[in-house]
Amino acid sequence: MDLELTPLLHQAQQATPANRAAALAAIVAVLMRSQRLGRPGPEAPDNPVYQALRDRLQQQMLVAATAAVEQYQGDHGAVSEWSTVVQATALQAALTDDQLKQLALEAQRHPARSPQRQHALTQLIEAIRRSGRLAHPHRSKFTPAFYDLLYEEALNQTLTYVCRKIENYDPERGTAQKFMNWVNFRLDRQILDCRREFNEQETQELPNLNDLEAIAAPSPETPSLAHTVRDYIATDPDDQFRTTHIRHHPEASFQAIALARFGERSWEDIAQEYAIKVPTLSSFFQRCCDKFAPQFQRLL
Amino acid sequence: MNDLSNLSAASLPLALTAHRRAQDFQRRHSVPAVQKRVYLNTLAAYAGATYLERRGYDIDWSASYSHDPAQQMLLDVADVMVSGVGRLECRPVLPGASAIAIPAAVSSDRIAYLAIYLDASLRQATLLGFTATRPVPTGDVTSIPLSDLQSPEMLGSFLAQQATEAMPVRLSRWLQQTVETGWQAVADTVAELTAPSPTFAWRSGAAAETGGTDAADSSPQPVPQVGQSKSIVLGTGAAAVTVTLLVGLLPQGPDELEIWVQLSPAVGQTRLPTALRLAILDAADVAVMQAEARDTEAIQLKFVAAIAEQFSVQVVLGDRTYTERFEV
Repeated sequence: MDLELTPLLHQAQQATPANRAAALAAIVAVLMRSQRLGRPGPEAPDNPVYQALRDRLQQQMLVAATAAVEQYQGDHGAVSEWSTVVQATALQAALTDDQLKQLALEAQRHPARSPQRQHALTQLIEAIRRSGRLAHPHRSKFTPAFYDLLYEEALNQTLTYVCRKIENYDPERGTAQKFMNWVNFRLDRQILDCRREFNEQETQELPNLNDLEAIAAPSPETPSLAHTVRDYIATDPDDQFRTTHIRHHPEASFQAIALARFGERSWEDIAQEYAIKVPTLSSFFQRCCDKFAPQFQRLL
Repeated sequence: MNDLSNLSAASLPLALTAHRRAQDFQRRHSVPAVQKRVYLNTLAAYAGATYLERRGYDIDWSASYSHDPAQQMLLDVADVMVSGVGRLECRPVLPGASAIAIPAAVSSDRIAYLAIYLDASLRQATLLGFTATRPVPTGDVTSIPLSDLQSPEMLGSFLAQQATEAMPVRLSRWLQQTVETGWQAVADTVAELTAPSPTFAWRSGAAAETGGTDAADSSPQPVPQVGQSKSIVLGTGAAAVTVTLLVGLLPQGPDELEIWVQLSPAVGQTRLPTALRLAILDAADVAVMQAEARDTEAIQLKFVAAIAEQFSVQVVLGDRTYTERFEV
């Protein structure tokens, strides 16, 4: 997208006022192409709700791009920053409370789980996030880092609530009759709920992928799980893991396969040893795990 | 992939709940490789579950292997059991990967595999797409290129279709007296049956409760302990033909069942329609057994299947077909 935008932006900046409109229209076309909001679902390609949203977005993209065209500095990397700002500005302007309400009503119109409702809810969630209309209550009560974590969690739960309980939304309710009042009311309560569930001392920083790589020390709390299950399978007190085997292959018992897996042997390796195909072996193992699951759970 | 605005609609922040759950499960394990695997699988399952919950589906965590520490250790699992739909596997996809990796031991029993991209910060999950094609494992891991996935937008209609398609009839549960609606115990209908073929005599439900000993007394031939029947209608309107499908079970050891499948004429009829075909299809929908009626009273097929194995019963008359899925 950036590669396409760069020459268009130069063109718009250097164009005469008369030619500038054509360059701006081309910029808006590029921006709209990557925009999911306002896209109709596969079931109803000409649904007027999405068409109206798309038209509004397109108008606001033009307004935002026109206002920002002179601010583009032309240096490397600036173009993606420019387009991010323009899109965010346009979305906030386009996504009025009434637009959000229309999406909510569209979701309500279709039965739960229907592809039409799912599409409307996906659009609604994205629209809520991009609208700039989400409140940030209780901010002063927490350190900024902890508040960010709480807020993110509370917002996740709020959006799940919006999706699952969209029937509860009553457009006639409240004096202002604003859709976002319904969402923000829930968000406020959810933040307080999350604060009860997670405390600041225990919740420092969430690990990233590198932190997971660094996990090396066995955790002290329950180091015995692997050993407990392994010992139980090896001891086989009820004589069931040894006797459960692949049809016509008494040597390929659940016990033998499980112990081989604990020894980090690959499926291919085990398959070769018993001259049994990997799919047969692995699906037998999976069925056994399912079958013996209640017994393993009793060990934990 | 560089166009993030395109992905954001299917993205989900991984916040406190997701990470706490992952940490709690991770702490149950002691092998570093398993700890890491469990952490990532838990995040992927959380993301997949939230995605599905937001679309109106319920997750049965108690039936999801990904939330059972013993299963986490035995298997590389990230499944979520979706009520009324089935088991979906949420495979984590890490930065730089161009394929989803499906471990051999999660290759059966899944209705679809979701590719869940986890970014390097582990703070954002993105549903990249899904595949409903069940891989046939040849090695430890089967790779499915991300470019072969169906788009996330198609998941809604795929799930709706899965939910309306009947769940397979669970035969093992019949032994515990849990029978799907639409089936009738054969003990109730045995009197209505027109002379069953000699090799297919039904034992009454009462006899089944007394155990295996009386089987030897009443008949030298083992007969199904449990039998259920249902009427099936082929075609519609005036051309519709009704026949009775009977399924009997005879346990063979701890995890195998002998399964008897029979077609009998509908009540009041004495013969099956000529050229009526009965077929057993395996999990890949390949016919493994067939029988055809030629002015006969009943046709039947008998076979042995292991626990969790899936098969379908197909009844064909001309261009009319009836199929029912079963899981042992």
